[in-house]
Amino acid sequence: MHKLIEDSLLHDQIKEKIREFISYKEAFRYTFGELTITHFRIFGGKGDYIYRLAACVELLVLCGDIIDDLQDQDNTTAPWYNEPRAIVLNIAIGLLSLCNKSIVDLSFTGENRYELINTFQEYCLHSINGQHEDILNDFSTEEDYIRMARLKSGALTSIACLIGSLCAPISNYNLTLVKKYSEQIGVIAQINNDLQDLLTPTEKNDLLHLSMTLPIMYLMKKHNEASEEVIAILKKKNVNIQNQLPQIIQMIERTGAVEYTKVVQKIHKIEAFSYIDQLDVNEDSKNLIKSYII
Amino acid sequence: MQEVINFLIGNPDVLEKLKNGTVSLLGVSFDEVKVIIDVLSGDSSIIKAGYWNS
Repeated sequence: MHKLIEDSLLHDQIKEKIREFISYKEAFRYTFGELTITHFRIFGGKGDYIYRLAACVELLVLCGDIIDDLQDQDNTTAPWYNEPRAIVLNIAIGLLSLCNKSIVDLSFTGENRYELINTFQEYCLHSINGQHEDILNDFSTEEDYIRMARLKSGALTSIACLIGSLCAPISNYNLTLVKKYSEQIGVIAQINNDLQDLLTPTEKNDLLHLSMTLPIMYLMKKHNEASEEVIAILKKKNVNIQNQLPQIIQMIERTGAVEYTKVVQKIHKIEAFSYIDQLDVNEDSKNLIKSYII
Repeated sequence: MQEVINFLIGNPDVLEKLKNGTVSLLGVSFDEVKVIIDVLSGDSSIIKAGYWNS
């Protein structure tokens, strides 16, 4: 990632800030880049350029994290939180442009070169559309929410898996399956993220803004008395909800919202596994891909 | 699915019958029933993906 930044045309101050942001991300696992390299190797890809491609995927994810935090203003621990918004927005645009240019400049001359570039750009647009739907927060059904998660999160995991695969001599049969399960990986991860946000009493908790995630949609339907009590508290005016989050979270555990969300998540996991099981690769490779879901 | 989960949480006797195979859920597939039983029987595992913070 540092090499991509160094080699770029970006302003020195932008490079310095991005290096700082990358350092912050080093505390987390580079799951997306790993998915790119894993798929490249499983389908028989060879060449060191894959590391540059994986770095590009991670920079794209960093860009997505920054933009999401700019929109939500809820990640106080990120280094970009305390920077002027205009500067951070410009850096995010710079990162997105750099990723796009890096894909075009990649020293990969295989027959899938055009599809590689097209896939990257097309799925970036899907992810932006999903983010737009998420910001609108206008979901009323499980199907609405899953469509948003497929676009927003599924597209990012699809980029990671597909561009690694497209640089390898992959068959159309396997590529079709990668498209299907890679999207599910994103949906599963997004649901997981929503559950963790719901059950953690911090400023990122979705209850504070009634962001429409699966468990909150369940609560809003008021299927039982416990759900009605939770919603009544959340809709009270002039009440500091953040102080009451630990108690509200305890109440939610009696509603069925967590169980419902876990059921939906596991159903998507079964679907993803069924696609992975159909891949024309050895069992070790299938298990390796599954390890990104378990 | 919301209605199914809410019903089974409020009626643990029906959940037991579902586990024993003496009742079935209309419109719910075999895999889905298995997942429902796993989750409502206390499978509290959350997938540790940790992909992003959004």
